[in-house]
Amino acid sequence: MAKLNVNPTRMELAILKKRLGVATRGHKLLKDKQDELMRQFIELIRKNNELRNQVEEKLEKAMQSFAMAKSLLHENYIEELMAVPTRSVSLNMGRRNIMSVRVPQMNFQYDDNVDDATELSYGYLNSNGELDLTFEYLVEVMPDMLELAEIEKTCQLMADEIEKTRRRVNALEYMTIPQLEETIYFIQMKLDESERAAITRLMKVKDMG
Amino acid sequence: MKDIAYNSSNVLVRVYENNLLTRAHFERMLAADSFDEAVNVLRETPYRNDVDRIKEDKNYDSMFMNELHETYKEMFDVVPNKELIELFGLRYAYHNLKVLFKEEITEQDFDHLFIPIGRYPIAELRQAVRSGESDVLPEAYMDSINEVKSDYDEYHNAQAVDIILDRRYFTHSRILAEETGESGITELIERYIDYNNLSTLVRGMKQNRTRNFMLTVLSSSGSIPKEDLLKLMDNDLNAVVQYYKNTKYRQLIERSIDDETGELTTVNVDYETDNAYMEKMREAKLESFGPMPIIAYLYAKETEVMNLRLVLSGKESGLTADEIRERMRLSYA
Repeated sequence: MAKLNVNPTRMELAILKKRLGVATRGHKLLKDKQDELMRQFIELIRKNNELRNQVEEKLEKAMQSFAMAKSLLHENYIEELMAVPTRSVSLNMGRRNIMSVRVPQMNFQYDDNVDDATELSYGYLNSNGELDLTFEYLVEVMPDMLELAEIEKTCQLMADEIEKTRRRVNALEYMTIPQLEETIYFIQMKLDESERAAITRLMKVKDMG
Repeated sequence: MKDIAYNSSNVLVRVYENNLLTRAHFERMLAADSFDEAVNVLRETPYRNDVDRIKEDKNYDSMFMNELHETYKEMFDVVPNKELIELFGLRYAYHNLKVLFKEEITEQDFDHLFIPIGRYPIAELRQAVRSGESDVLPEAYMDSINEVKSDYDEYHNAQAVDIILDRRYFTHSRILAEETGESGITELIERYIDYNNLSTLVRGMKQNRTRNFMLTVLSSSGSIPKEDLLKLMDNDLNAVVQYYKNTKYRQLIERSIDDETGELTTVNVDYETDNAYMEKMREAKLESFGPMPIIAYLYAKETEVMNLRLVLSGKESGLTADEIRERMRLSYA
């Protein structure tokens, strides 16, 4: 390990010792942060996985019944049915702080004019029973899907932060701290050596006298 | 109109009927391993010209649309009684009206959603939807347009457009059926409306719709009184079964019951009503006079397109042959 390019003086030693103290404390703190981030991350990932499976299962069901519905109806009919959106959703984005990672917190607001969230009105003539089912499934999966979006984004942001923290921890642990320690050791040795040299010199001078 | 008025067109229709796809065609398409192979079967049918294009862009809907468009155009040309064809193409006219209204409401361009089938050109319908007046369109169209207009002015609910026009479509169908002056047509349309009402009723009950909603979507032009249907809303689906068992639709309702759960399912009802209607149409095979052969041919063509769409889109999305087969409607040929 390369030592730092510094003059072996007492002054430098004092500075380096101080830096080592800060680095060690910083390392400990960052390590704690990383552990906590990891813990929360794993928890989130588990939840994410579970939710994703659920959402995918429901979406698959919806898409299957949509494929059936679509195959019995003219595509233009279906598009016409949905040409004007029945409901609008507005999104309020908040921020939550997990270990200094700012993650999004989404609040979805459905239009208040619709009394019942599951009530979608459309013409029955150009739709069929399977399309009813499709809508039912999709309406059901919607809140889960939005929650999944929030969790996935959180996971992404946290993964980024974990990587950054890990890099810092490693840099401190494997670069900065060993370098400092080695340089301190070197200066210490150098100083001891020059001290011994001074003593020897003094003894010699005394002998000569 | 006299029975013999249709003689020349009936002969023509009998010739065209030979071009309809048969069960064997469909079976071969079902047995095909892939979408491409299924499309290949169409090379022996009147759809042969589009085969290569479909393989590339998979846009089979446009092919069906062209085919239906041609069929209707031909029928308009050969059949002496235009109201008759207008009646059976009315669904497209109402679809176009819906699109026009939605264009008006959203101020967007939905040009690609039109289906160019019907007695009156879309430009005419558009002008009527915009201004609420027309020199060309008959009163029944204008009644529909104005009803939607006044409802929208009052409530500003875009979804109501569909619902009102669906109901008006049935009313209008009945008016047209009576205008054709042919015996049997009114009865046929009545049957058609009854089937649709049944399907609407079952779907509405499954979705727990409100009485008000059902009041708007059910048509009063069928043979079963609307009040009776609304009363059934208060009971469960078993009551519907019991009620229909006492009507001429006994067989239909019994077949619509799911074997496993013993309940009416919407999918079964849709399936059985389509088939029952086709059964009725098949009676025309033995008729040589009157309008029935033409109507039957039109319906046969529609069903053919429906089945083809089912097979092709089923193949495209990877459904198994059995899954597709159990949904296929009875075909005419």
